[in-house]
Amino acid sequence: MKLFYFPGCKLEHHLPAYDRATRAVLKRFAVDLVEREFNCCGYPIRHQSFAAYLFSAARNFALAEAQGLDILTPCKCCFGSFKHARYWLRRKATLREAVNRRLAAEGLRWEDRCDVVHLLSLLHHRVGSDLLRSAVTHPLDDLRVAAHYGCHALRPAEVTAFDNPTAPQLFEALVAVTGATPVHWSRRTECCGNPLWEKNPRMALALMEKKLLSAHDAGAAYLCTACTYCQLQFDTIRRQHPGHDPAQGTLTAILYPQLLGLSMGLPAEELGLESQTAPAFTACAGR
Amino acid sequence: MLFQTSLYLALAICLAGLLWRCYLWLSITIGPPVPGGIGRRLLAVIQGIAAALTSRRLMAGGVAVVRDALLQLHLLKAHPLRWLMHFLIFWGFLLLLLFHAFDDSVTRWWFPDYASTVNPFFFLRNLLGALVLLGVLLALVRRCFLPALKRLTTRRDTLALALLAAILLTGFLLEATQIVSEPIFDEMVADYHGDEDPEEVAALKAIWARDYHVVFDPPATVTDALITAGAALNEESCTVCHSRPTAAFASLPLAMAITPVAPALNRMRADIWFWHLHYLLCFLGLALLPFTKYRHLVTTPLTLVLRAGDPQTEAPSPPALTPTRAQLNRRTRRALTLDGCTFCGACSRHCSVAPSAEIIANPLILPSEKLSALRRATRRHGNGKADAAFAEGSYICTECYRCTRLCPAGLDLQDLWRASKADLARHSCTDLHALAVKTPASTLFDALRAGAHAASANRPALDVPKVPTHAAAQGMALCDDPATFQACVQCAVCSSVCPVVAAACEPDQDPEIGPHLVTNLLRMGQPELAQASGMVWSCVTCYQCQENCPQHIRVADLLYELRNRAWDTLKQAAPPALPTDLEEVAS
Repeated sequence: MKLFYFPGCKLEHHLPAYDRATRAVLKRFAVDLVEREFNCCGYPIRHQSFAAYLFSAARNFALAEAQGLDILTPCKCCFGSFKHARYWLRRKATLREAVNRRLAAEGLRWEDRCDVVHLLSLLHHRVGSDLLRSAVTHPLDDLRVAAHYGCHALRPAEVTAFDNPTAPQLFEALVAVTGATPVHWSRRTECCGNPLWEKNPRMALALMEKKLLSAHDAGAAYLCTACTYCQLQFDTIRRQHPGHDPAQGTLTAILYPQLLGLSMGLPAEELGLESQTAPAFTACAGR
Repeated sequence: MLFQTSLYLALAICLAGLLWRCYLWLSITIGPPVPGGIGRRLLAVIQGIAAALTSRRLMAGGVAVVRDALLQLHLLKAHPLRWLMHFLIFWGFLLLLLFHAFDDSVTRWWFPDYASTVNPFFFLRNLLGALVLLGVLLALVRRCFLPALKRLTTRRDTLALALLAAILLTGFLLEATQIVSEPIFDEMVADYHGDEDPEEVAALKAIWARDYHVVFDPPATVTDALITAGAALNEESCTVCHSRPTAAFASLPLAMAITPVAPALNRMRADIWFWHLHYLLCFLGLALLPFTKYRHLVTTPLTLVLRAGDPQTEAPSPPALTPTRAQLNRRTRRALTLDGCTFCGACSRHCSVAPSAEIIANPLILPSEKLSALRRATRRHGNGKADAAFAEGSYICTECYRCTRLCPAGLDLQDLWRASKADLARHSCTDLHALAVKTPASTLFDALRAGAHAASANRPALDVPKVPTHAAAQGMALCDDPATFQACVQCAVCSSVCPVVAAACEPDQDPEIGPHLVTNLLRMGQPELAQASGMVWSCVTCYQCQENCPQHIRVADLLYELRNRAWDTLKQAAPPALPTDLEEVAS
């Protein structure tokens, strides 16, 4: 299976562990990641300028279309950004023409010939639970994990078509594949708060705090994410603000490919776990 | 006399300029200020270098210089043509400098029989000159035909290439005018042949006119007898120092081209004029070195060495009374980074947010342009304080690290952006979004009215180019179409599922919070009040409202669009209308 790999802006410098873990896991499922120089998906600029956002997203699609491959991204904000762009480009001829006029200067064109897929959807739908389960050699029994959905993949479902927006099951199913126990927690589909980081930090931290409390109360030992920004929020930013962490050092944030990778017996270093949080995780998982 | 004076003058200017640069590198502070003046910074640099020389960093620095400064392998990885261009200019010019400009000391030391007009030196000088010119030509072609690079090209790039080309061209013209020069022939005969027997001189003239392309006025008589006699004399007196110019593949065709006008050129001693011009241009380049992009000859190796041993980024640490050596050196390195940019455009051509720069029409979104602006700002303020356009560019940057990874000069741009953003925040020049969050709705409303007024008067108050970027300009206008929001029945489901409403700490202080209030303002035909609403600026974009709306209203999309429109208007607002002092607003 061949896909264009779209890591997103933050991965290389701010969260290299996600990149390593994603690559390590996908290699085992014969997913061939094709790389090229993409630009920003447009998500951050959407607050300021829809036109700049749409052009940024469309340019990436046009680059991918040249080779007829779908785009794979591990980031839910990039994913949502692409989905929204495709949604509007399909529906508004004026937008489509404006974007294509600009793309033509580079010899590019958006023709709606490729889609975007998130890492979790890829694993769940295209790789499939059976294949995943067969790869699990070190099941993470007795590990209680809270799956954090991430807004930009889940909603609006009309645009993203990721899962049922009110009662999603995809992430829990993927957690269960590793042998871990997905806990049910009331705020699992709520926002991590990161979109307001650096804009309204107080609000961003308040949202994070509520989520952590909910997962903690549900008895989760780990908070599993599959989005660059969610992980930055629950890991990097949270550690800088211990006052807003009701779990106080427990409930470590872990990226899904890291969870899966460990259950597949991949060494912690290959999953970027040595540089990141979760020293306790490896111990807990018996490695 | 002129030669000596101008050389020493150029050297003095170059040295003074470099000293001035060193002063700037030690005094400019970008990022949170740390105590310690120039003396302390200098001491830290010396200690740092000493530590580097006595540790494993020496090895890393040496490797970096060989690999990146001498072989420029990182350019080869970027694009073979780029590498070829830079390699030709760098090595061609360096070898010309060593073996041609310093021929009396360097070349003669290695080759005691050296004379500039014998082969292989005659040939090699032409070869090196032609290679440098080829490199310059490649650079010009790149700057003219790569659209992204063409946009970034300014006078400083043209000047650097033009001066280089002028030095090379005057060099070739000098050699060509020397080849055809009768006066030089006469001087040489007087100096080396001694007694001036007219018959012997005529014989020499014949052979030099035929084989060496000297142009005599009146033309030398060339007969077989004279040639035979001249050949013997030539062998005896001249060939030790003079090869036939056939190997000078560049200057000989030039000499033949100017042959028709050579008598006139010889009379006015064009060779001497070109000699003056050639060395004066070289000295001009030397004098300009600290003030133009030629500066990177000093800054790039310095940066590579300094970075090789210290690749990590600065860990956030509380300001200490006595800053560490690393903290001081990082500030020095940032100042060096400002001077180290060669404006090659690699960062901006590959910038992840370059598509946004196309639409928002603020060139300061692009790294190389942002660096130039920061450099100008430090000249004015001695720190990273800058204007609104710079702030906008800074906050649009996603810190993707690509510019830093691709910079051929090895500049740690990511570190510079993070530090300059910290400076912007310290000078209360925050992201417009963050500013709007902290501004009371009533003040924001006034600013929006003022901005709208400024926009209608077509009088942009800030130095950001006025370009309508919001969706309306591109045909997506949810706010303009009542069908988008008129179905709202004010059931407030959106506000009951909104996590921001739930988490708002002081709901009594912010009565405007709640998406349903925003749609209501739109229904009442009050788009400016809607844009000023706290909900618009504290929306976390989680789409709960839109997903749960029983009337299927695109609530979150509307909030996005209101932000877009307010953003455009606020950019037009006169600064007094929008408080920039956050402390004041917060308190």
